[in-house]
Amino acid sequence: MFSRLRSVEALVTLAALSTACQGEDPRAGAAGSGGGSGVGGAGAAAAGLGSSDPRACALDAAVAATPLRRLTRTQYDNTVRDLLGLATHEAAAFPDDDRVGAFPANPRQSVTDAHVRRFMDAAEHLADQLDAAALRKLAGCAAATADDACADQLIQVTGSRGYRRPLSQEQALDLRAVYQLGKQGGGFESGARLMIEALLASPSFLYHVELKPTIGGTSANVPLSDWELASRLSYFLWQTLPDAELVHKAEAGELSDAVALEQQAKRLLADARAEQTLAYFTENWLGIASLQQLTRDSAKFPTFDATQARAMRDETLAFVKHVFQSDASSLSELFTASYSFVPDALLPVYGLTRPDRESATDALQLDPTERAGLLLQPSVLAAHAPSDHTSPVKRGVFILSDILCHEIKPPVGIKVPELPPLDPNQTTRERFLQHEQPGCSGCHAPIDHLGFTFEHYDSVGAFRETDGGKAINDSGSLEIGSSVDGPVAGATEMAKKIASAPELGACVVRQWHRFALGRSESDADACSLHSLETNLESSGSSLRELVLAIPLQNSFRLRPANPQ
Amino acid sequence: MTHRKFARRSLLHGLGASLLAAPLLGVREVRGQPAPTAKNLVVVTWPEGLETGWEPTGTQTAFTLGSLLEPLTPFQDQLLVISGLTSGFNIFESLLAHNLGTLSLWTGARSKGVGGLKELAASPSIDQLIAQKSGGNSTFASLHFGAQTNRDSFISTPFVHFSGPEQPVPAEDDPNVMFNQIFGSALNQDAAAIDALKKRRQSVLDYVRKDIKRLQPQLASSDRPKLDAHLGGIEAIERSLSALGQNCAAAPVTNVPSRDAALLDEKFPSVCRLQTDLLVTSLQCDLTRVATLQLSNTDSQIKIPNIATTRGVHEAQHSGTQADRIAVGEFFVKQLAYVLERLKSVQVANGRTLLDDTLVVMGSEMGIGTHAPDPVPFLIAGGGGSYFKLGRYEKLAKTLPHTRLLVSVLQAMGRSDITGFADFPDPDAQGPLPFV
Repeated sequence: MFSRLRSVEALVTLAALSTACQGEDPRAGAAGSGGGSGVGGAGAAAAGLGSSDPRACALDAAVAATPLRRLTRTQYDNTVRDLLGLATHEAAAFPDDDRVGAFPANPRQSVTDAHVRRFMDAAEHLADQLDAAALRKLAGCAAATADDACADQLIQVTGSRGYRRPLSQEQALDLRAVYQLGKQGGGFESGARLMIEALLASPSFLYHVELKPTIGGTSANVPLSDWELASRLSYFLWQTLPDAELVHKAEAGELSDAVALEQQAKRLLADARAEQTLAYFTENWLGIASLQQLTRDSAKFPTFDATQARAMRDETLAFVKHVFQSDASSLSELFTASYSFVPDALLPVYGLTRPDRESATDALQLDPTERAGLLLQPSVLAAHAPSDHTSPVKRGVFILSDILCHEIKPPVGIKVPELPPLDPNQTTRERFLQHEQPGCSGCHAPIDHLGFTFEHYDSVGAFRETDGGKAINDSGSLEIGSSVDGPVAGATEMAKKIASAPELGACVVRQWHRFALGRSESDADACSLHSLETNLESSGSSLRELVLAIPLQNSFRLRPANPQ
Repeated sequence: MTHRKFARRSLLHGLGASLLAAPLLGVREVRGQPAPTAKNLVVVTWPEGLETGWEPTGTQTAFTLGSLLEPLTPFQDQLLVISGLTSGFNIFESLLAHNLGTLSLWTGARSKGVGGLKELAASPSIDQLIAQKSGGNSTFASLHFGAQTNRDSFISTPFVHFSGPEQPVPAEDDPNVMFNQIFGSALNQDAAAIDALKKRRQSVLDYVRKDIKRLQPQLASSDRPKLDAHLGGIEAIERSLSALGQNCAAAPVTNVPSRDAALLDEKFPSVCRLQTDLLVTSLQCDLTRVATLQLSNTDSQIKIPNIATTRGVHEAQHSGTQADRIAVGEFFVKQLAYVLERLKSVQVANGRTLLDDTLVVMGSEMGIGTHAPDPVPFLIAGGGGSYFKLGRYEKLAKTLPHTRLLVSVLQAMGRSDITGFADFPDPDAQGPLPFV
């Protein structure tokens, strides 16, 4: 009865007939949720092109501009930690970051007065936490160093590290003037605090500044400076400012060499800070970052609480870390594995007990007919479900847009009828029958038919046999214009189909590319993205290799010679 | 400030396009008849409308508010209830109505369908249009108070106020932060200490300005507006610096929860009240002329404590029973009443209250709990000069776009130069409300 039985042609006809979605074939686009102009279709890109590939990465080809971005809140806190040794969460008071697709980044919006006030407040508050001893230590001053000389040292050390580039003479003089004024109120400590305050409040600190190239030439692009590369690399893999070794490499001018850059990328990726970055990427990508705020209907889920919500997130982060760090580092493993790392608090959701002599850090074998990879983990299932019932639309939209980068156009300009109210004697699937009528199905078929396959999982991600007192029909289909499109019986099969879809790799490439650069992709990124896709394929879909390949792309290393 | 110029330019450009498209639309000639202007503007937003049946009964001037609006009865003679306005979207879709209604509510912008579910508004909101014209002399051009407006929604941006295209003005959810912003950290300090603090802050501001000026020529031209906006923020702080340490006889605000506690569901009602108290204080001390209060955001998951439903706001509105929706609606109407009550409690000169000097505009991004685009409950209260006739219930004979209300508010606050919105070119959407 559902359109998984329909042919693709029938669907296209339906979409064309329908005024819904403004006549758009819902399967046409693939730009993902990142906004921006998009780069063809993920599917088309993944299908590969012949040897005369117009997207080959010519050395003098045009590259996309990366706009001036503000540090995200996470980056701000990490940078303050590594610059000043202050482990605070000052940025919690900043307005929310703008997002690029799923990821916090601030490439589009300008600051408001409220932002600037919070930055000033934070700078003042942070500087006030540093006493004379801490300030002298930061500067690396010997006990015998006089105050003013120590202040100059402090300006050089924190100025250059904080601005992630050599401090100009002008900047140093201006910071010294701030120090001198502050000193009047109470000596070295007072002056040095005020200097740090000015440093933290200035855009050179608050933004990822990449200066307009000054060298001329005929090429459409120019390389980023070594310092700018060091900064990009460090904020990509560590979400913080470059460490001493990276600074040293930048000062020596070694990072323009691809081999040296790759070596540094490997070094950073092997560090614990990269694990935190992977967790940060994952929780944003999957929409589970604020899971601890999740509320569930207490009548239906009396044992659900914040501990369980946290356990859901912990499980997924532990699982992703395990897969990423395993030898194969396999993307498809993420979507097919029938094991996981289940915290104690989550065992009841799985209906499992832990075998003797095993702990939460051991991989727990799950029922392969019920669980396959992260899409079938409670975190993802719960984060994309309302509190007391399931929504095939929420789950479907999430997977289409964030896992497969399949663009969904909002039905602007049409009157869409409301779904019937919840009925305890009805299955969710019956409730969504309304979407099957012409006018709705054009857009909703790919969403709902994907979402229906997850109907065996309730709002906390537990497996259930019935819905509304009836057996669950979890048949559905993948309808994204992919080579693997087709009918699917249940969620584990859907997860495996998604794992085999070329669109998955293309989308994961886009997600990491957005994350690395803090912006959406555009047409001029086509060669870089294509090269990453090819790379992913030839590495046996290795996630680690994908991450390491990103800093080597034109989009990462180059900038337009004549930015607008 | 450049970002403000930018916002204005884009709006004028938008108007130009409408003029070409719809010759009926014209900028009304208002010279020679100065628009009656209220001193202050307060914009209050609550999520997801009100349950069907919120409309009063009776006639235009003799009406009964009915059960949902009942808490507003003490202010009925200073209230204008409007029924028949639509929200800024014309679809009936649960998932999308949230964002489309939110981005349109106070901006008169419409979705371009380019940004997916969390698209931002493409033009400034009325509060900013008014603040940009009249806020320059205030310590704060505008202040934006919130209560849990910043929770992640999967389907919608939380922002209802915008300074320009895709430039949201976020509400601050933490009463501590708002308190510090309004009164500075100089409360109860002696004059010398305040003077020293001002000098220090000024030197930091001067340094930041130098940094911006140095960076600007080295940036791509498309990046420069971002630092212009930053400079605008610096100038705004400089203005408020002069007010640092100035005393105001306002009642002190007490029992402020910590930032983390302010995000707990059980603190939501008290944060709503605290932010209202701070808002009223900021007007009372004449620190701003434009203030907004946003109570949670659309698609709100908050479970309001001690009301007659245990469902979250969105759950109640979207899939709850009628009793659930009424319980949630009653809570928000009570908060509106509290805003009016507090404004009315402050005496200003000549027996007037702060409410008499303030135009209060209250609305929601959608009509009723089941995501209908109409009728959206819009309420006007307070002073509003003589522009709005208050103590009335206006039931429109014909459903009209909410942009008519936006134009009226702009006119009431002295911005008669704006008579329509480019995204609403229909003749029906032009000009002020038909009854003003």
